[in-house]
Amino acid sequence: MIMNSSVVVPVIIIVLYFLALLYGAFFTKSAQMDDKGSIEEFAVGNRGMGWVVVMITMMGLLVTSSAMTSWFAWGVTDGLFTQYVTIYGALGFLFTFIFAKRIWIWGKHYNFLTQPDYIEKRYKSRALANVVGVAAIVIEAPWVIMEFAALGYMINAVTGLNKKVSIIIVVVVVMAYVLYSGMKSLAVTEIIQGVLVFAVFIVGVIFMVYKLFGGFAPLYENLMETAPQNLTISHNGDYPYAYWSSVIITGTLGIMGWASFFTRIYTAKSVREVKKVSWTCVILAVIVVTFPFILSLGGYNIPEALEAAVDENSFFVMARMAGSPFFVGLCAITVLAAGMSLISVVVNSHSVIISENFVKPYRKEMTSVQRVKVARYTIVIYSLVAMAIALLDLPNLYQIALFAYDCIAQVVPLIVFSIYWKKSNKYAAMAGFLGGIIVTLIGNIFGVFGWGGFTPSIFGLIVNIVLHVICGFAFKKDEGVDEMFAVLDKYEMAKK
Amino acid sequence: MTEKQLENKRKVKTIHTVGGIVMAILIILTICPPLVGLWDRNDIWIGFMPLSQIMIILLPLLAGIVLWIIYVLEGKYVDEDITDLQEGGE
Repeated sequence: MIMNSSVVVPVIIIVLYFLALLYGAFFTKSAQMDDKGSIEEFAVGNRGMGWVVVMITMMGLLVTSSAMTSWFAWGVTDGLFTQYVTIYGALGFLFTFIFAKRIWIWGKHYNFLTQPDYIEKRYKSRALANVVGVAAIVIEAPWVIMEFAALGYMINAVTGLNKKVSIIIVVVVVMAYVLYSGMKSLAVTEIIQGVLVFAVFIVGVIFMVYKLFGGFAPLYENLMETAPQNLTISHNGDYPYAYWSSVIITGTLGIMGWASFFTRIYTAKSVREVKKVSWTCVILAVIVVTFPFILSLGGYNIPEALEAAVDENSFFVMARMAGSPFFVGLCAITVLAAGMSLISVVVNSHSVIISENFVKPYRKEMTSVQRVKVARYTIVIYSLVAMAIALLDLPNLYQIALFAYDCIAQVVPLIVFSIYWKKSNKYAAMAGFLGGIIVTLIGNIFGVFGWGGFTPSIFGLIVNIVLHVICGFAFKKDEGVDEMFAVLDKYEMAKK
Repeated sequence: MTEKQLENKRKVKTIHTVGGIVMAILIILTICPPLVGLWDRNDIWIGFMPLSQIMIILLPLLAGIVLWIIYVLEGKYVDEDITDLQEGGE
């Protein structure tokens, strides 16, 4: 292999990026755990994080490496429709503003570390908590696997390094810093990754638009001449508006359905911080996500980028055409940062769920330090299993992950009802959740329940809500629910 | 609860009601299929962008701004900065 500057420079930048992450995680003071090393510190950073860190971890749910590979390529070929990501991101964070207060107060009061902790307490049902916990891991894991695979492919595309070796390198680096001090080291690495992502997604993309098209106006004018359908959501009727609504609704609910969504809220140091995160994330979702997608619109008029859409590589083709190898390296580590940010938070969250909700109940004598140890073992096993699957080069993982998002959304009705409706009980939650999942699964597998352009998950949500309401009235409310709601009154926050 | 706290609670409720109505309008405009059809136009241009692109940016951006206004106004009447809930009680 002949090494030239277009390969060497990105390789050096990627290596420097990994070193910076590891240095940040291992040697900065704020990443260090206390001597005691409690599970609360490992899982939710002692609930002491400021809004900037929480905001960056929240944005990680939206700004993934897939956004710059799969969705970017989709934007090149099909235009505006892909910007539903902007809308669902903004709406998801808008609802965070509404729900965050109660989630945070109960989390703090009862010392919850995971989403199933909350479910178990609210519904007085370990069975339901286990169902939700298992579902969260099974449904969300494909995203971790897909991100591992996508990052491996990306390193391969930019540096020429073997795909499998690339995946192994990414897994080892992520595992190292998550293992070291959990959420504490994530707080540091997230800042490094967040700054990179925001800088390149905004400044880098504007640079590319001017370099490749001479500005935003020529980009839109040229596209209007060559592919006017790409400047409408419907794409000449290819996408019914009901489909647009469906993907936004499931995407919005999906953001709140992630198990790690609770973890992110628990890490904040106050309700006010979470609310600040919510409105900043709504605005950032519009800016950070829309800029790359506007760039992708222009890709239609660049034959090389259009051709590369098949391999989901259009973004890097355009980066190479616009900038020097240094710029390509910068783009590469930005995509790496976006992917690693999502992976690390989800891996940390899942490992704590396994430790706290599936191991601790059977080993009640475990100390806090021992629970951290179990979480660390879990991270190793979880990451290695995810890596093994990513190495298999499975087809359709992308579709599985998209389908998983439909299923994640089915968790949300039970969460919303549990927060606001005292009559919501374990039977209602179980019936609604399972009913919604079953309809979504059957609908997706057999191609039914997709009337009028709406997706099966929308019908799943309707079944979910109807079953929940019926069972809510049919069965009596759970024991202890009044006491939980009384906690909210106790912490009345109106100024004196 | 003191008279002042009750009054503050009422004010927050008003902020939430007004903000909620504005948000609901924005959300309906964004996802209700017949309304999306009204603004999904590439034959109307504002500046250098078609109307469809403008609306995709404008609607969520407005939602963010409304949320920021609610956040600022709320801050005048509720104290959610407390990090230790035990101190926030009556």
